[in-house]
Amino acid sequence: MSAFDDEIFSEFVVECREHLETIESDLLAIEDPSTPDRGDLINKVFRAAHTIKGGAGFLGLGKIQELAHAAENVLDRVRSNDIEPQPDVVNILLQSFDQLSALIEDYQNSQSADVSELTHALTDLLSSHLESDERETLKESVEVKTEDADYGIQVNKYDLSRTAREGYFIYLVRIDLIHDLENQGKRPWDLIQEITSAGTILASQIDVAAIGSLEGPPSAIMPLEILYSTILNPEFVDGVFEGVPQDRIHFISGPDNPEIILPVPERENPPVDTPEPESEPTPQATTPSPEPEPEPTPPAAPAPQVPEEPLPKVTPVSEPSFLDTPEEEKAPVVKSDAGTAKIDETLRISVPLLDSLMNLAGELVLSRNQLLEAIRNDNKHLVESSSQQIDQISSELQEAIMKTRMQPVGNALNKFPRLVRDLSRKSGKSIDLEIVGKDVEMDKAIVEGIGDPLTHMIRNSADHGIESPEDRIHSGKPETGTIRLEARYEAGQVVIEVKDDGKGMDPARIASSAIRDGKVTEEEVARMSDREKLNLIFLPGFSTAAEITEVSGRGVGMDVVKTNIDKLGGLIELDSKIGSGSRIRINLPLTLAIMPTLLVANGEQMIAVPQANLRELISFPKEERDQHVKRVDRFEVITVRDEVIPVVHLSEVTGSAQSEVQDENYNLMILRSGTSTFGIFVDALHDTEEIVVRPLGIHLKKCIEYAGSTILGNGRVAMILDPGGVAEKTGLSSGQFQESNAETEATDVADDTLQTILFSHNDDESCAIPVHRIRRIEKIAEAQVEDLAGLTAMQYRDGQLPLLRLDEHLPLQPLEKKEDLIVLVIEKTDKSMVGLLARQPVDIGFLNGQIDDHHSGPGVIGSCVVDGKTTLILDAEHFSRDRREVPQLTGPESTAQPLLDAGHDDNPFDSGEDTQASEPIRILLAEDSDFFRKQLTGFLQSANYIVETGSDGQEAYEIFQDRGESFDLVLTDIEMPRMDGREFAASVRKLKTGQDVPIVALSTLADEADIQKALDAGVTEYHIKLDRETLLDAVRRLVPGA
Amino acid sequence: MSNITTQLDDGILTIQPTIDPVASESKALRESILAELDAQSDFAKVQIDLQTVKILDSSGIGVLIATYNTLKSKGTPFSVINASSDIAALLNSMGLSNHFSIESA
Repeated sequence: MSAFDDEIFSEFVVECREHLETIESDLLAIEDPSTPDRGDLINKVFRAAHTIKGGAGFLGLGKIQELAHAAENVLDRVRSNDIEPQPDVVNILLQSFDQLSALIEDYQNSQSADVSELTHALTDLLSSHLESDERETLKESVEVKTEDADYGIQVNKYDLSRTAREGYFIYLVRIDLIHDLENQGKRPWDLIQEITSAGTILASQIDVAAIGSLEGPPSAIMPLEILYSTILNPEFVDGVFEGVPQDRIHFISGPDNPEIILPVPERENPPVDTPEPESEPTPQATTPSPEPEPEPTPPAAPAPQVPEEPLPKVTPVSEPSFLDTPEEEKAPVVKSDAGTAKIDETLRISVPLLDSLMNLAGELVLSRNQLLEAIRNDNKHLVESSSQQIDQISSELQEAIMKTRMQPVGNALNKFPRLVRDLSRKSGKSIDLEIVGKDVEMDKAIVEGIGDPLTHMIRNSADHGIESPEDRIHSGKPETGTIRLEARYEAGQVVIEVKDDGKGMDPARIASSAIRDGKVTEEEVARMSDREKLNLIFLPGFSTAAEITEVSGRGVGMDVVKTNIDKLGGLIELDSKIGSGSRIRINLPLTLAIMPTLLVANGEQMIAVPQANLRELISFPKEERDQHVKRVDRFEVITVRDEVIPVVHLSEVTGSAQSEVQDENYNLMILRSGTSTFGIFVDALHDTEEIVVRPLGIHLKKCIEYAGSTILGNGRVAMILDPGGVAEKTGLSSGQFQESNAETEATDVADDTLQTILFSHNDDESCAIPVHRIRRIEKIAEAQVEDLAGLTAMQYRDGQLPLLRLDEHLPLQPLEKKEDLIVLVIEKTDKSMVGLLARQPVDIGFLNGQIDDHHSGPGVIGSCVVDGKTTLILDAEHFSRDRREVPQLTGPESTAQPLLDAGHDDNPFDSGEDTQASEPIRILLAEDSDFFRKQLTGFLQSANYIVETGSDGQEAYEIFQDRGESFDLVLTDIEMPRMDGREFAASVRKLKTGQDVPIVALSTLADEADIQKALDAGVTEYHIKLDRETLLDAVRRLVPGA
Repeated sequence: MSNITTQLDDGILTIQPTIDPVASESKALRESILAELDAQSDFAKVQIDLQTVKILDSSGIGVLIATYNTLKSKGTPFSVINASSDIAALLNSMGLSNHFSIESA
């Protein structure tokens, strides 16, 4: 196929696409009786079908023409109010346009498509709305011929009548291709182009018999008859048929006398009256016509030359003959990629915009010349000014070029009313779709790219979200559900939201589906917030649908949605509330090729950070770092407006060495990616810059922290950070840093906060246990719990793990045997393990010292209220040292080591008989929190030390003042009322008895500045509170004989 | 040099004009095609391949129709293949597809 052919077909396809683009929404609006200006819309759709039919006929795409023609006929009757656009009618039309659209996209194979089903449906629909007489005309052909001709032209009678009724002039034109064209140096192609630009060829025919065979001499004539409809009246029509004598342009009918053709004649050769010249209102009379015949009556020459006999001739010819190509086998459409022509993408651009591009291009050339001149002459001033100009022009040029790619997002949204309508019909639900913000403009590639993800999201909302009308009424909602699709600009981006008022999503159900399918483990789920559980639907292959419905759940999951959105550089967020509905929010950049970024420095390296992911920048003086940055578990965190955000340094991300911060301030970027929010410290912040994104080479594909690279103005390469990849690489997106954490009050991470594992015992009994003593949490099945010789245990790793039932030790109800059993594995003082039987759900909680000791007793430190529930805080120390609970297991059935081997139960911190014999070690503990005081006392007493306590620094100081010489070691908290740990340590050092005594500070605050301050005050060592081993180790090191 | 090339394959005789079938060439073209049809006897179908044809004028159309008429009288199917889109459109708009098959390239 030549380039020229490509161009013709491309034009056709592009034009059809434009027509088809809004067909769906238009048809749906036509279906709705309340739509204003329905008539205009019907006309618009009719014209689309008409144009497609014409173009396809012209290009020989018979099947497309046939279907478009049938649709056009129905639309014509809708237009004339003969057919009411009921849903059934609109359905057939929608399906027809769907097939047309598919055929046009694959036009090369369209001729082998089977369009008969819809063509018949349309014809049946049409004929069912016609009077019986007119119905017959659908199948009839008439022959139109001129007086002098001995052959006529076949045309479908209904089409002819319709064209006449629509107000077109109809002409029968007889052209001799030899005399009228060839002898005058014209080509038939020029004529056909000319006439099709001003009207439609209803039918045409060459008198093939007149041309003869190869054997004879070439025929001197080649008569072509064209039945032609146009809006041109007889006065102007000959302009189209230039070179064709006027007497061969026969007027058949016009808007004023369509009845010439319209009356349905009797079936048996009824002649249609030739209109009387007198009755012909053609303006031909007034046209000075020097050339034609000297007929006295004006319309004589172009008078309707409809032959008297036999016009219209009723023939039994079956209708679609003129569309069928001979020897064409009917076959279903087989999509063949090889045979499918790729139509180059095209864009329509407004002429003023093109003009402005041309102007800018012109200015650019001028400035370039100026610059070259300036460089030649070494004119620095001129170099500077022309570079400024070029800078400005390229900005404007960039903006103008980007504009050419901008398209309204409505192009992608228009198909959804149809989708929702079809889905609601199929599922029997009543669903309204509201679309807001169709005019919002985005890059063409993005508009095209969001279609599929949005379709899936809307399908999900309709299928899984919106309830059946009965269920909705039952839950007090309006019968009709609403899906709202909104596009809007927000902070230089486009936000698209899909929101429904359906039943919402249940995080627990999603989590259990994900566990069922092996997507995540229960342990991982146990660490997740509700929001993270919801986001499990983005895992590959996820589905909650118990049974796959026709509508969705067919395998293409939300993971594909997310992947597609990621590809577009977008962010996707999901919110849902059970019973109220769900909301999916997509943030998209306006364009893909050029990305606004912030350039930051990592030592010598420049990194571009997409502004789309940048939430805010924070800067604080170096010396304030300790006030802002805390440590929780293995993360450094910063608290921003009560939100705890994990932070990393850029060098940790890039793997380069951390350079010394030159700046006086620390610079922190807060980034957002999916559901993760985190901070990255950078060495320096530079300018914002729009960069051109270059993809990464294959050798860098494992560098998930980068999204691409770019070349900066100075010629250096800068990597583009991918915040999603950074979150993944640094573990900030995993379940370890939870929303619950993030929402934790800043004060919760302060000194007196205890991080605990919260778990259930029974439905109305909750417990908490300090997290530092828990080594693992295992989910177990009830069957794994064995009772051997009165000992409860389970197989664990290579041996058996003794289990403790809390209800046997604490005033709790017996543990109900349920599916969701877990075991909290505690490391005992002898390093062996013991498990506490408990139930899910498990969560992490921060208890801030407001502990009620009303419930305290053996094994229970106290209680507090968590989420409105009284929660017992367990004393892990108690369970870790209470060996009597676990009798020694003996007997042949034991395959494991004795669960608690007597030989293993010597306390490593016991100093043995020597210690027993010598003076016991005495320790003074200053601690204001009852909870920690009890915990620490428990640790120390379990190691056989004698502990005295002061409830703050002042009280402890008074005790030490009184009998300081009796203490072998002082332990102190840092943050305390009246006198803090540092003052206490400093004061003790001033006492004679306190100069040599080891002072160990304990705190949950653990940054270097704190440590240094404590050491400066006289503290010997500094340790993390509740790190039992380290503490006992310190005691042993610091106290001789301990 | 001949103004056509021919190929007989599986009973299908394909005739490909190597010149544009316009008025000045039409007489010679008619003769070549006729000679070829006479020379070959073992064909069940004839197709004219317009792959290389850029321009087709009235006389050229006449050659196609005359070939069709010649074969029609013998009951041999005829078709035009590999017509460029504008030539196919031209032949279609003249209603020739009612007589023989016109396939675009």
